[in-house]
Amino acid sequence: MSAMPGVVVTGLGFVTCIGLSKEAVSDSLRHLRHGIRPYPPFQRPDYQVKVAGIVGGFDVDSRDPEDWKLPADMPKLRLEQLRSLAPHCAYAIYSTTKAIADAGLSPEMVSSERTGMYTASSGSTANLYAYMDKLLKNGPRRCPPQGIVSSIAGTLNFNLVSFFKILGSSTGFVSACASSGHALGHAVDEIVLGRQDAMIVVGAEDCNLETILPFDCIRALSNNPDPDTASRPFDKRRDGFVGTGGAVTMVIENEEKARARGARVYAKIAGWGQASDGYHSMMPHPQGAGIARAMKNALAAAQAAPSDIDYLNAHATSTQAGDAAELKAIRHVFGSGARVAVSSTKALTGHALSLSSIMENAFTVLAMNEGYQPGSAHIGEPDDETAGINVIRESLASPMRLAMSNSSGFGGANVSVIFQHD
Amino acid sequence: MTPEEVSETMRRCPQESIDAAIQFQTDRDPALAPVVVMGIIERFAEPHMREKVRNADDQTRLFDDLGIDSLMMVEIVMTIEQVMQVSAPDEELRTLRTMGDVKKYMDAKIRGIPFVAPKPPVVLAHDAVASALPMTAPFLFIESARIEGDGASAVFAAKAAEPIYAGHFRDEPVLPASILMEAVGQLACLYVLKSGRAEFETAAGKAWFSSADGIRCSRLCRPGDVLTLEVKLLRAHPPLATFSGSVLCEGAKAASIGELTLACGPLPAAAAEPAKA
Repeated sequence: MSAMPGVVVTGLGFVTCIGLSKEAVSDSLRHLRHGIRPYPPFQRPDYQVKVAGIVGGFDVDSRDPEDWKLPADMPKLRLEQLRSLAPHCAYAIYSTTKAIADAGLSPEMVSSERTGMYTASSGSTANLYAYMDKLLKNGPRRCPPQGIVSSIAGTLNFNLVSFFKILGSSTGFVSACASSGHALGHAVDEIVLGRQDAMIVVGAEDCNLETILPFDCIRALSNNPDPDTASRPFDKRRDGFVGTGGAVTMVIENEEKARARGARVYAKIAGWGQASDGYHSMMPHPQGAGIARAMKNALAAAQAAPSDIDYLNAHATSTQAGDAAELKAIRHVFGSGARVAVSSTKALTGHALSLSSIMENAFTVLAMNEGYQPGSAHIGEPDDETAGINVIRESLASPMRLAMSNSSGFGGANVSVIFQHD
Repeated sequence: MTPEEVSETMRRCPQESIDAAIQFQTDRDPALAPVVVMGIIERFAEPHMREKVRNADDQTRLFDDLGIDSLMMVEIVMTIEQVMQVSAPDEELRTLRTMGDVKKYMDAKIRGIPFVAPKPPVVLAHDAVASALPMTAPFLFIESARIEGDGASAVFAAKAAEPIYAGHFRDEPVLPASILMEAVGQLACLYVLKSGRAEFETAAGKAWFSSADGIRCSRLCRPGDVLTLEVKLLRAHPPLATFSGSVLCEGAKAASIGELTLACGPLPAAAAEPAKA
């Protein structure tokens, strides 16, 4: 039934505030256990924001990677490689190693002309700031040569493509909180067009003050100090998102080739769509016009009707404007009273910016594969805009055949992806 | 720099090199430079190379032996410049290839005397080897060569050995030790002819075998083995030039020559055998 047959998900790897393994992540999703904690650098009287989704297992706070403490099962890095990394690149090397092992790809298959890698991160603001500070203070001849590649947007791509010896297509995507959705969508196309047999899609963000705090300048962060309620998409009293970081990697493959090698298939990718608001650099379109069209485009690509969709992982970040616009768009596309179960897993993780799209795509695939629908946590009093929309407040042991995952970013960029149970 | 600034700039360097750098701030003693420089190189080398850095001698090559690439070199130099208050222009740095070069360079910088750049290596591909040496097929055993400082290395021409295996031995092809010695001798000849050293200007393109001592063979070389040859000039007293030599088979030592002496220059009409060194 799909217009884009032949792309399947075969590997997943996670570094998130709700777990570093698919088992831990799935357990958190199923039981609605969040990863939000008071974040020490925010505990200042002049900061209203207090909490973040904190990634465990990695101590990457120092601007000097040689000070870092990485998990015991982190792949071995040469000194020269380590010194080129931003914190999120370390997360991503870990998640990508796990995803490759999960997919059962041999080193020869990873480093092959038929395998590519698309990445998404916003770069490392912390490293860029530290690097520019040193550069302007000491001059260019007194600055480490790795400064550029460990900081600018593209650092994830530079470091991972070289580390994993990728020979096929590679590029990085920068569309803010839709970035890794664009990376996945274009990776799907790369396989559909026959250019590649496998694509490794990586989203990652630093999980630190420099990445998260700037969002408080636009009043987008929750100032609620209670980790249990700070992130509550669709709740009437939501007051902004909770920042997080980490890395998630998804391996997708040409279905025929994946099946021929006996790969375990998590799900098929039925189709994807994108559309733009054409409205404002930061604010979402009040009616969610762009995300509505992205959902319609994804449905058309998957040759599916709205009523075919069992579960929708919403972008909903817990901001007043964003959640309301997306709810309007959902009602517009699916109709009032539609059966589609809607939740935002950002209640558990917070908002992971460039990483969030691939993270939530991976959550959706994991839940689909295991036959449950993750609930939308922390809703005390549902927003009026949820009227006529089946927002599920608990995880349901209901299988899904088709599931959709939405993402929206600055500038009104919107991506919607549809997965199909295998 | 204050001791604290030196310690911060040299973070992760061996303590003795930090101490030497701190002392250097007050007395600028050039004798301290090697300890400081070696410590900084050790800090930026890959961890598995650090032992090699500690045991390096003046001949140790930064890139080939220690894996120091151009970006690591930038960091090494940047740190040296800071703690030793010298400035190292890129065009001078590009000429440094061995630990010895680095030490000599730093010494010149600290004393404020001009630095004479070491000669760049001479790299000879097969065509260049074939036109430099008078030997030819089936008796040319050097595939390609590199001449640098006091020594030279070469890749043995495996193809040239093929006809020899047919007869040595029947049903058990082994490269004759005499051919290994000949190959090392050919590399020594190449050094005399192409190193550009003033001592060999009178050689006029000729070098003859004179003597060999201390030959040791320690493993058999067979078809398919990759052999590399090395010679090092021990003495040059024209017309005689004395080398040590070795053969590596698949990276392991297969043969060595304690002393191999060549007589350089046109052969005197009366002398059938040149005098022993």
